[in-house]
Amino acid sequence: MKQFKKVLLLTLATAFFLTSCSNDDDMTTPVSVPLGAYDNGYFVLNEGGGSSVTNSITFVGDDGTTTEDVFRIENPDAEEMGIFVQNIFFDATRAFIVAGSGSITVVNRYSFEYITTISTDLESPRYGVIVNGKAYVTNNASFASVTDDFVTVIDLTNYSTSQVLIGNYLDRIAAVGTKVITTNNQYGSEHSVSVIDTNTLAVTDIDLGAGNTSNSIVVNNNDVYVLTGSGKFMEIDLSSNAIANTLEIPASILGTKNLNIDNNTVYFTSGASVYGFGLGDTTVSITPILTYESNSAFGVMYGFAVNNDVIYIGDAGDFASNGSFYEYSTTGDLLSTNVAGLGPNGFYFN
Amino acid sequence: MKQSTLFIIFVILGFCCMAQTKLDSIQKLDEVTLSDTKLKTFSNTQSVLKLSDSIIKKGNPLLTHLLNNNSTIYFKENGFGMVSSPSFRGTTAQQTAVIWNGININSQLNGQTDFSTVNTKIFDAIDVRSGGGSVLYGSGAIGGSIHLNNKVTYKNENTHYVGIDYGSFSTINSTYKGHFSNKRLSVNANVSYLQSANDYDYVNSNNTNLNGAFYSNNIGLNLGYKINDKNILKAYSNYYDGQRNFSLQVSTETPSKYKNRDSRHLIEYLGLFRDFTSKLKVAYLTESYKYFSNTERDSYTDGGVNTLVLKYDISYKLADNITINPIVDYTQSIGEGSSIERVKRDITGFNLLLKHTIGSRFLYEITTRQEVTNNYESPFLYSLGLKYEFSDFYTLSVNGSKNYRVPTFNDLYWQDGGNRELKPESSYQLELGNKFTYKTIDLSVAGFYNDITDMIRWLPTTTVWKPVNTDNVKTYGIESRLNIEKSINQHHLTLTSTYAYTVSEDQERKKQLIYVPYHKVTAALAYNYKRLSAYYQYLFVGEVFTQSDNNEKFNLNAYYLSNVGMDYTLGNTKSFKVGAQINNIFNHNYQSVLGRFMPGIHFNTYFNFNF
Repeated sequence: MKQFKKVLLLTLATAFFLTSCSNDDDMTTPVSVPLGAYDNGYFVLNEGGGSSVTNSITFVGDDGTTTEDVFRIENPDAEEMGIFVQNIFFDATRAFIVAGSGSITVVNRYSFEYITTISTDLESPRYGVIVNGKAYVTNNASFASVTDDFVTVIDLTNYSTSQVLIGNYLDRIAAVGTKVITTNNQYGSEHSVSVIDTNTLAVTDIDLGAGNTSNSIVVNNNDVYVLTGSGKFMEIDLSSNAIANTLEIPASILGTKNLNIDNNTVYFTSGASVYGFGLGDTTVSITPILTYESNSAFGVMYGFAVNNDVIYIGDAGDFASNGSFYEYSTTGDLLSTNVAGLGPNGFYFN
Repeated sequence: MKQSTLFIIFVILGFCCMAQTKLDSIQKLDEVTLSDTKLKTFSNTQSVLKLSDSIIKKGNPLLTHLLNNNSTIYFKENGFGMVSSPSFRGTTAQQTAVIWNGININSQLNGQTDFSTVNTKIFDAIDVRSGGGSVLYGSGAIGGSIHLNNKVTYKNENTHYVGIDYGSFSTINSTYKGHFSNKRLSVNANVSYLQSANDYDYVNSNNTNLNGAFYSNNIGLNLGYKINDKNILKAYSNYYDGQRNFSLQVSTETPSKYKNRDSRHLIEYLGLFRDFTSKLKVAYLTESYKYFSNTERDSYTDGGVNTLVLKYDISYKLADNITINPIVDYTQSIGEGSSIERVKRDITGFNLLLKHTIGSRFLYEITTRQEVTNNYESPFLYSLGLKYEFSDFYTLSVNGSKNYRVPTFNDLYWQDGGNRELKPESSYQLELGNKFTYKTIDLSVAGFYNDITDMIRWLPTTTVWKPVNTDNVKTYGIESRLNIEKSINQHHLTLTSTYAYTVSEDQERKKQLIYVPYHKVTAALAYNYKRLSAYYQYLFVGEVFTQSDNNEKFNLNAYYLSNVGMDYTLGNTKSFKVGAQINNIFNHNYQSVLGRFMPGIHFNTYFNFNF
């Protein structure tokens, strides 16, 4: 939350600075004007199917109005964002949309106006994060090899790129201070996280123990937490590069994933259920906060986020038609039900 | 369904009485020249479309284009020359079987044939058999089957054929076919090479087809040797090697490529006796692929399966008009790959076929098959067909059958996700065929109904994607074909046309299956005058859905294409033919797969030389 506010402040400052620079006539613009049509609300990323035209980004305004396919609306002539859009990450003014086919589309995060496309040093990219004006993006590289996986480093001033070879099967990524941490998960057989010092680009692996494949990572107040599919909630200590704490989630809760921390409450999912516990708790209740109805047992919880005490769930249905997304309160009350695009896999807040 | 079919069988068996011999010698001749004789002897109650050598020799060599332009089968192509899969009577890509000289060659790994990798030029005949045929042709013969045949003839030939095609996007195909035979020995050899830069410009766009280049090599040798009049030995072999880059949908996509190699060998020992014909077949098939997800890297994923087929087939004449044909077969497949640990599967099959002709106008045929395997629960398969020729003008046929599509190696053994509990997909179907003949006009109209259950679909589970038996699809519709020939002096005109109306409905969603058009039309008008021949070809493909909820936003528009072509035969012995074609003459912008653009107007020229 604190971080969110900080980012928001920074965003406002930067955006105004840029606006005034780019156009002197705007000097008189009143302060209360939104930064763009998509300033106040959140995006639902719909990954799409095997065809590049099927992905989309849905915007939901604070007033609840939804706008489908905002990228296409704002940029009717731009090339498609790629195939299987995986992730969006932001800096103060820009949104970076990562497509698994090998590109990052850069747009203004508030107006969604197209800026550029980055396509060098990217091969099956997954997730990105920004540290000091540079983006770090995980790549699976060739599916035939687990030793070629790398992180792309993108200088966001000129979009030049380079690679840091890591070798593990890379997936999620998070940043704390000048370090970035990746979760490594070669279809469940890898069980480490890698820490990259962004100053030296030195890489250190931290073993989580056999069977403990991490599938989600959160940085909260400069503390790093990962969740494994085997039901372990771990805190990683980056000064000693070791596991600082492990909390065992009851074994009856299977296939734990989608770690989120919001207002000092830890959330995760199993099947169609959302569970929660207080940060610092030593036990986890087996009673879920909520269990939602899904038509398809297989596209359950495809996208998940908790933000400002609202739980967001994306359901991918059959992956061959529109999915759904839901908003729930943290006490499990359904707030809204909406139509998503194809394969809603994430929520991003503006 | 099962019970009612059995009931019909008993009713029909009650009729057995009269006798008449017919076409005996022709059937013996077929046994000698072809390996896939069931297409003639046990396909009387289903529609078989024959594509002659002269149609095959025109146009580009891709099987997908030959069938798209001449049959009711719908094709989904990822761009020109790219992966192409069929939908026959509204079924899926794994529900069309491809049969090479009588042997099912659908991939053991993914259950289908990529119709862009089959070079038609090396075959002597290509037939399309509509409807179920799993007893005769195995897994996947649900929508229908495609038969690629080479002929082994004994007529003192020594002929050679060289065909060279050159067309747009630097597409080159060269084919050699040689036939040598005397009264005892027959040698039929072929070589074909195809390559294309495949860098066409998209219509009404600044974009070009990127990373689309492909090439393939085919070598074949077919031999026949008559030890004596009663004992014949035949050997067929074909070797395929190809590489394709997969064309990009967006310019930023990482370019990938795919290499595959297939080899097929078949040895047949045929004994022709007074009342029976005995056939022993041994086939050995190999398939392997390498997929490079980045053309710049050396790393790849791969897979391959080697299959041995043993078949003993004895056709016995109980009486002049009754043929009974038991067949025992054994198939062993060994597969291995990046995601499949070495695994072996054995299938033993027992088949019994019966054909009975009553009088000159009525016949019925019954086929049954039971498999024994520990890989999946194998259903009892059967078919019953009846044909009655009311008059020279009208023939009615009825066919009902149960067919299947077995789980593939990928479905069963893929790591992770392979599901060893899978059942085969199964289909009950019924069709009614009407054939009208008047002078040189042939019209056939068939209505079909197909109930397909336990359809296998890969779905993401909490950790991995996994195939499950989930969908139930009903398909029904009409398939029709018209053929008219007309000659005035030396002017010959031929009109051939097909039309299919297809409903293919997912029973859970009550929606039309994706990539199945309701309507498809093909038509060709050919004109011949002395050494000149010319044709006009028309293709209409109706709108298709690409999303399972039939969300119209992503529908592909209907499209129609027109091609024209002309050739002229030169030389005293008519040994040289030169021709040209213009495809998509109206330069229509169309897609056959969402986001994959097909070429606009393009050309092909060909030179065929016989000596």
